[in-house]
Amino acid sequence: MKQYALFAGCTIKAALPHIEMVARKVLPLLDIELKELAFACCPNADFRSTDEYSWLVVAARNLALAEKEGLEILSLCPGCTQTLKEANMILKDDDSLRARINKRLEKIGLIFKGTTEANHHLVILHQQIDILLQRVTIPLYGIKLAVHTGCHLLMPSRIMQFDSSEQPKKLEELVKMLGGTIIDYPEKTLCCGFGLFGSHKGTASRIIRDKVESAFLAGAEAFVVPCPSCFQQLDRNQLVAKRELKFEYQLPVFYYLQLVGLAMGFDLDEVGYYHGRVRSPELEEKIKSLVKKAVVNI
Amino acid sequence: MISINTDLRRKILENNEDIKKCYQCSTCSASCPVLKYDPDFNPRILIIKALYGSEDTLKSKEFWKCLSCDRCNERCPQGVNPYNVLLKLKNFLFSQNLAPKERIDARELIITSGFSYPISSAVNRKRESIELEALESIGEELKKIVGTEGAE
Repeated sequence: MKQYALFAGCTIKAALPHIEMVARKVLPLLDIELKELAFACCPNADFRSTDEYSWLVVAARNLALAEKEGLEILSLCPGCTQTLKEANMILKDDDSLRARINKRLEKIGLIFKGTTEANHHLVILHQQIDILLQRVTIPLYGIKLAVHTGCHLLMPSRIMQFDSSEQPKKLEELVKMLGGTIIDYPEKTLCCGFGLFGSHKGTASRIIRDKVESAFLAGAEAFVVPCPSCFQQLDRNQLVAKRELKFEYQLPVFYYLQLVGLAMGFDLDEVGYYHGRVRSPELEEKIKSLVKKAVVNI
Repeated sequence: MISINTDLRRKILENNEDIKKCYQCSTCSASCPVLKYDPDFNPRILIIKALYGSEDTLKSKEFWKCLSCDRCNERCPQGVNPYNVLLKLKNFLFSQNLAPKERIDARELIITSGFSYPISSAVNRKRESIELEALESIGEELKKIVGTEGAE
């Protein structure tokens, strides 16, 4: 059992708490113990675009909190992971900047030394894939999934160092470990467009339509994402796009740990599936029948 | 006609020497998910305008459309890092009080509460309904440490 500081991030904490719920349920069963710290917003790229210095100060505070506890950070959000990794690298590499930022942190009794690391849970799970495999009791055989890794877990690759930014494979490998079937689709690496939804709904909706259409026509039954922003965009905002652009098809979305939960024997309710807005009764039946088959096999 | 603002040009080049390496190949534009759907947002053109210190850049609301996906940085053959150039430009505009209101408000929300989403009683009720702890503001602590460089 290794202990990590859980960095759920604002989107999950405030808008998608069922993802935090499933993480707290599933990760301890994979030998990952989680500790709660008083983290602030990572902060996000919008904040960085107005005030990069404060962005660095707030990120340094988050990292310093984990350092103080002697813990590494496990993040549920690629955006937060990217901020924390990039800030960590910038501050470790620049002695004078670090000293200036630490002057700010002094005011609240913290210091950034550069002794912690931040990683997304996919990175950590991929490093202990044998444990994951051991705990799968209900393999997701026959469930056809379109993987969407998103942008921030991959890029900048020199900082993230997780997977190929052009042909990502790691999330697919992790889905295969659960028994799921991977559906390749043309728009696999297209950004979900979440950042535009608030200000340019029409553009964001067309991005959603193209992603959903591409995955649906390739035969997928659902999306799998590791990111709360992508989740919101492809779930709740998919319904808005569908209304606006009047397309027929729709695909529900799973956050990766929800699938892990299902494969470990939790039911749809227990992994928070019904908190999602896009539903697929056919897929729900298929998932329920997996459990029945598994019981019959015993 | 392009009007050139030498202050802006100097400011942009100050921390962005790499921008001079841009040979306008358009790899950033070809890689950009926003441009694919919205031809008004063209990173290559934003870069050349920035390089010239064009005043259009100050007035343009275009580059606030960037999705921050980092794909242009990733593929740029010259290491210009277009995404970071845009970040610096937006920081400059913020310092001149020229950022869009929603961005200023979004920054303010984080500073005053610690979170990028409003922490309403509805949010906390939802959290408590699935046995998660309610969120509490950490704005008081953040207020002591935030502020643009040199603000102290």
